[in-house]
Amino acid sequence: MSRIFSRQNQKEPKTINLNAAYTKEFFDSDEDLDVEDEFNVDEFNINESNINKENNVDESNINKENEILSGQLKILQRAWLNENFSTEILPYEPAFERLNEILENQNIRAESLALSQETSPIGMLLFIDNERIKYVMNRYKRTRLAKIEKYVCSIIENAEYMARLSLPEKEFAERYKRLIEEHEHASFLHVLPQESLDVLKETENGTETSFATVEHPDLNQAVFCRFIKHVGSYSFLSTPHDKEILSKDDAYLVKYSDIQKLLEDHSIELI
Amino acid sequence: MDKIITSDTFTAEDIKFLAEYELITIEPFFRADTFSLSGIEYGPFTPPIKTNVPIWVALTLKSQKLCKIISPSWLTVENLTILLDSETRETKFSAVPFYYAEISRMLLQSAEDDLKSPGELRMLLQQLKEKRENKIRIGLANLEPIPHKINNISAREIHIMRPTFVMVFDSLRRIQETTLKKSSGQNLSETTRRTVDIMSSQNIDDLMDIEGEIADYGEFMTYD
Repeated sequence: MSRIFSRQNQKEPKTINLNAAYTKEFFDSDEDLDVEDEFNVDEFNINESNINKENNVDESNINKENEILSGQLKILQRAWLNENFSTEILPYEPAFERLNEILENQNIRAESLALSQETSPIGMLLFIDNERIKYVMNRYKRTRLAKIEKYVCSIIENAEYMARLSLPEKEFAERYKRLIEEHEHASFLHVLPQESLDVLKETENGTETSFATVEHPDLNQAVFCRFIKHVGSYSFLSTPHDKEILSKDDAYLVKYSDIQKLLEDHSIELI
Repeated sequence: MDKIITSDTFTAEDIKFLAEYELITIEPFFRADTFSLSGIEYGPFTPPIKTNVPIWVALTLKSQKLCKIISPSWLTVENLTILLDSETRETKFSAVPFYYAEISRMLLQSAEDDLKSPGELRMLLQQLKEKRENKIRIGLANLEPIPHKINNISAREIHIMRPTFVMVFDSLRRIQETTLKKSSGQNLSETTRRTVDIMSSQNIDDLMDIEGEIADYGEFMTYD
């Protein structure tokens, strides 16, 4: 047994370094056009507030934090899956910021625990746990960024979609669109005659709305969903004459537009 | 045909990641007070008192020989035989845990010595998997209209169904919309029947794809 522990202890400092490197990479992500730079500022602020907090950390504070952490992690996990399987962009989940804050405190606690109780496996478990939380946060962000890139024009044209983005995401969307436009203009659009582009323009009531080539999310796409609440008698939009009893844990293959409302009031999750 | 948005970024690894949050009972070989992971308290750890932890914790401890994993109540030869039996008799899916494929695979891989008759378990799981995949194939061949209830489907099954099912239903819908526009006088069932005819002739290659995909999945999921 002791042999296992001594091996583990040798590895410990390495884990801490890896951890630090991972955090750094996570915060200054390269391919996101530096929009995520803002998080660096956040990180700095949190560190400062931690120094102040450290002096009077008491039990009740930790308990309260734990409660928030478990709740918010569940919310973010669900938000990640919903975001991943829905076609349109969903409202930004503020759980991300709250988790980010708590994670810093967790990290400090894990480090002190790993140093004080070298023989216990708990320090290691705390580190893995932190990495797992970061993974969920990372995947959530990535999923949203990928979706913003895919539907950038559609999102910028639509005020409702724009309102669902966080501030850095909005900035990212605008900069990404500008970049694409500049690139396409420089590479081929400038040699095309203006008339050929006008053909592609869609008009609504005489005013130009957008290009026909803009990709919009297909709200009628089929999705898999599961009920997380009892809804009772309900009829889906596309089949208004069929009443179905919807109870918790029921799984359905449906059109996204049929369950859009249910997703908004958190009666279902996409799976 | 339009490119369909399948969740390219969501992989089988992600399903495993989520499955690892399910709780499992362990018998610890070490002493420790309660501690919290992701804000949830676990412990205290006092051998030989059993306690519940997430699967990833159990597997980490197991890899360091710090605990014994108690196999979940559904993962027994007895229970799997009952499930397999109802899977054969009923047209509906039998009630398996959402992450049954991942959990059983992880346990058979890393904690085989804690399970009773692992060889038999592997065989039963393999049979169960094949029975359920057959039902998916039949479901696709019937092209049942959506909304369509699919209770007790597991995470892994959705993952392999998704690309093909989403594509099939989307193209079905598009063809239906165009045929309805063209011949609005015609009755619906006739149109639907014709749509299915067109579908099966046009997209036969796409439909055949699911066979290949399930075969790939089979290779990935063999229990040995």
